[in-house]
Amino acid sequence: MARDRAFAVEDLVNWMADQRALSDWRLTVKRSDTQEYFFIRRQLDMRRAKNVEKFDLVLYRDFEEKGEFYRGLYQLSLHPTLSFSEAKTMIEKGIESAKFLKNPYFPIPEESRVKGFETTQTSAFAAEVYLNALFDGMEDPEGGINSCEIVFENVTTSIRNSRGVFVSFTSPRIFAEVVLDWKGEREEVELIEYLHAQTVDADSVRKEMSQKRYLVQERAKARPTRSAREHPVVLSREAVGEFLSYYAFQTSAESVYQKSSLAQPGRPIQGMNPTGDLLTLTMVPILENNPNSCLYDQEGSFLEPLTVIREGEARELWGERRFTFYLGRQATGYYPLMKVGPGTMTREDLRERSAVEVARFSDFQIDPLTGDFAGEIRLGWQNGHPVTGGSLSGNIHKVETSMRFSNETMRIEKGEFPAFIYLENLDISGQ
Amino acid sequence: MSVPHSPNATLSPFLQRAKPMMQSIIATLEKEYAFVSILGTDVAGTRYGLSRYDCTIRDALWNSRGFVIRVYKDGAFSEYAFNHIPDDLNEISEALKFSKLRSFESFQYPEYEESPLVDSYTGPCLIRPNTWTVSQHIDAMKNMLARGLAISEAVVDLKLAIEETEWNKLYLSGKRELSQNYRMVQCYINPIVREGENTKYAFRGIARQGGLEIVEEMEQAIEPTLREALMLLKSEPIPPGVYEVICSPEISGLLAHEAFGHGVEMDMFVKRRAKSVAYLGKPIGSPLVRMHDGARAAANQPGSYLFDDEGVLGSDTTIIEDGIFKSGISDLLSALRLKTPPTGNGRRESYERKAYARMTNTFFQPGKQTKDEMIRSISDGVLLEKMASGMEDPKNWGIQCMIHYGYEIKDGRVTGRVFSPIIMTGYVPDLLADISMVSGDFELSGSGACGKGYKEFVKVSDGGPYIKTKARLG
Repeated sequence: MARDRAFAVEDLVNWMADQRALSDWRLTVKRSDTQEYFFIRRQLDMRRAKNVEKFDLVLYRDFEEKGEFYRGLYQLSLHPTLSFSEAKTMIEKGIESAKFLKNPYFPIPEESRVKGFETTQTSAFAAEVYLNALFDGMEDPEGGINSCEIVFENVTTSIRNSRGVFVSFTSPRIFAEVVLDWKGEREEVELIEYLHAQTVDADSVRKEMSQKRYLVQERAKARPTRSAREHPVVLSREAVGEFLSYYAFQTSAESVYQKSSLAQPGRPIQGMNPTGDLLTLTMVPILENNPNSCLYDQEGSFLEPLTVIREGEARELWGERRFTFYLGRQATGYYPLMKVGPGTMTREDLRERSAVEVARFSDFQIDPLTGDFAGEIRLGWQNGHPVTGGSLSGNIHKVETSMRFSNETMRIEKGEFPAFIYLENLDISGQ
Repeated sequence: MSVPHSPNATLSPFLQRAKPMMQSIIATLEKEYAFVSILGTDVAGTRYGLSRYDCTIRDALWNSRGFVIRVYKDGAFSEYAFNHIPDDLNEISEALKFSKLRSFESFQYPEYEESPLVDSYTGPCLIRPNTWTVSQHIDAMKNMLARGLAISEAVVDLKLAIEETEWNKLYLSGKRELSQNYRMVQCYINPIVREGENTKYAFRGIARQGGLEIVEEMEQAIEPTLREALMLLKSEPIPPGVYEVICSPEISGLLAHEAFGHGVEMDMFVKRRAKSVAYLGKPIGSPLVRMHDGARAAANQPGSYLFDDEGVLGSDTTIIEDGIFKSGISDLLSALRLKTPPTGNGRRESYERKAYARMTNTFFQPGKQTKDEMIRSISDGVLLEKMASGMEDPKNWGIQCMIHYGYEIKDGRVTGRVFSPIIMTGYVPDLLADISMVSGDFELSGSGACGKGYKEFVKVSDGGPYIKTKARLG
């Protein structure tokens, strides 16, 4: 579709180059097209499309006070409907305002491998292939897909700054929210499931949906979770990513600079004298068919895998150039994905330990500051029988020294992780 | 409590300029479609942030500017969202021509007949945000930061933010012209404290429609919020179990919202995902329970408005009356399917997203007892004070409420022992049936955002009185 906006990017860039009070700038342009499908059971309820263009501008203004150098930063959005004059007025206001924002000086990225990458966009034909795979085998008198929303999105991003960074890339994203239901002995139950991908892989969708149908069938058989004190528990799927994201927060340069984290490279981060599996966490830019994959961070820096924790010891800090600079660390970048290596535990080891295994929570959360975690159990297994209800809670500092990881790995939206984590001495509040 | 109408709402210059284009789109598309509407939105604002380590100005979280067109033809509704001014209206017509799916049939909606209506609304604002300079914003927060950091050496950081937004919406169709303009200010206080390796924090949000007059409340809340964070350094995990609990107005609101509010969003009725349907007209809780939702059920709150994102006037819905489930809340398309009147609850995260049945201002109504009477009636329980988050389960009526902290109650008095964090779970009908006391207090709060499942965030408020019930805590 043709795009007409009132201001031209090149005019704006040329004009900004002449603004003496503007020390640096970064402009991110995102164009997004979507095709959206909303189903109730197999019946199409609504179709939508979206076509938007967004301009995100960060202005940097340097100033000196009492011999100290500062850099104010001001972020604003420029709407495509703005006239050139309106855009200039907004930028002038931003430049003026930035002088009140007294942050220690920091540089912005200067180099960038200008290496745009393109991935396959989803055609209307491929969209229907995906939809057919999603619904394949999901019609059953006992249940199936209650409703679903599927969004096929193509995003083209360009990032450029006043120091020569200029990268662009296209990233397709397929997102599906699927509600599955199944008739149980006492009542009909449901699970809300998500699928994320970059490209249409019908076989992979069928396989995922088959697993999800098994889970909702299990929930239909579930009985209430029983209370247990200081009991072993196994986390799987998205809860693993959420649990381990604590360590990503702890090793981010921003958290360390702002004293939200006490992590220090070269020091243990998994407690003293760990007896379980040792954590190795690598921040990565790309994982196959993961829609969050991106070779560049939000500042346009090229990203290469970075191991921030190796065998339980913090090694590096990751994050925006600003915060690594403040800490005197090497520039690393802001990563979209995590990769945690496998451990030693096999499925056979697990079976011997009679742990409560939780496959789905309502909304499992870990507090990145305190390490407290909790979630209501939607589906788990206790003594081999499916259970639902009640909650699991604990603190990561009480379990991290003895936690064990599966020897298998899995991929979810946040990255690649052990398929499950085994934790000891947790409390379950149930019946 | 109601939202006052004003005959001459002042829309943003952008929407005023866009109005002729929007009217042209309607005129063009009406040749092809039986129904056409277009919603133009212009939400603009700024977030000022200050902490010990950072000082930034950025767009407010809710900023967006664009349009969404809805059309109806041959039994189907479809939508197209965009954020530019098209030179050629054929572009819009083309965008609305979706290729047919060969393997799937569409639901056939009945034809929608909109009644004629012209109305507008302008929200209150005592101190307009643009009357403060940037340095006034920063200086006000610098003073608060200095006061907060001086309270204790245990304070690691104090994150402060003032976010001000102006919301403009213009809804046009063949028969309706609705406009609304209001401002909202949200203030956030987030101290982080530490003793050794024990880190805790507190969080206070203040949000209402209005202007910078709200910042005065932020200034007054600095010290209490810092004291709260310091108190939590002494907190301990709660022994898991079922307790008699008193919910503060904030937790009552969380309960109203998560336990029953999401379960009566009527798009869930359409999908047969709401257990509440079976209880329509029947007892669902204790006779003390009275619950409302509505954009016009409370004035000047984050969830208050004249019309929703589908051009339907907001209302005040009685959801539960004396323990009886009376009515759900509805978006327009669910109402068409269910053949019920829409309640003005069709809301979008932004013009880019679909409209769903969503809550607005949701609350339990006050009763006659007092908080002290409730405390005296409990031999072993917990006063649940501050919320963190919640998650609904309308199909199976489970509930997850993450609670930041609560106070122990023993033998009719608060002991001073603090539990944090707490997760409250339970079965919704049990929680509502066990409500045994309701206080005469009433507070609403709405500094956060409500998602439908894990997405589609909109501004809401919720609250109510203190209530006493039983819950499973862990």
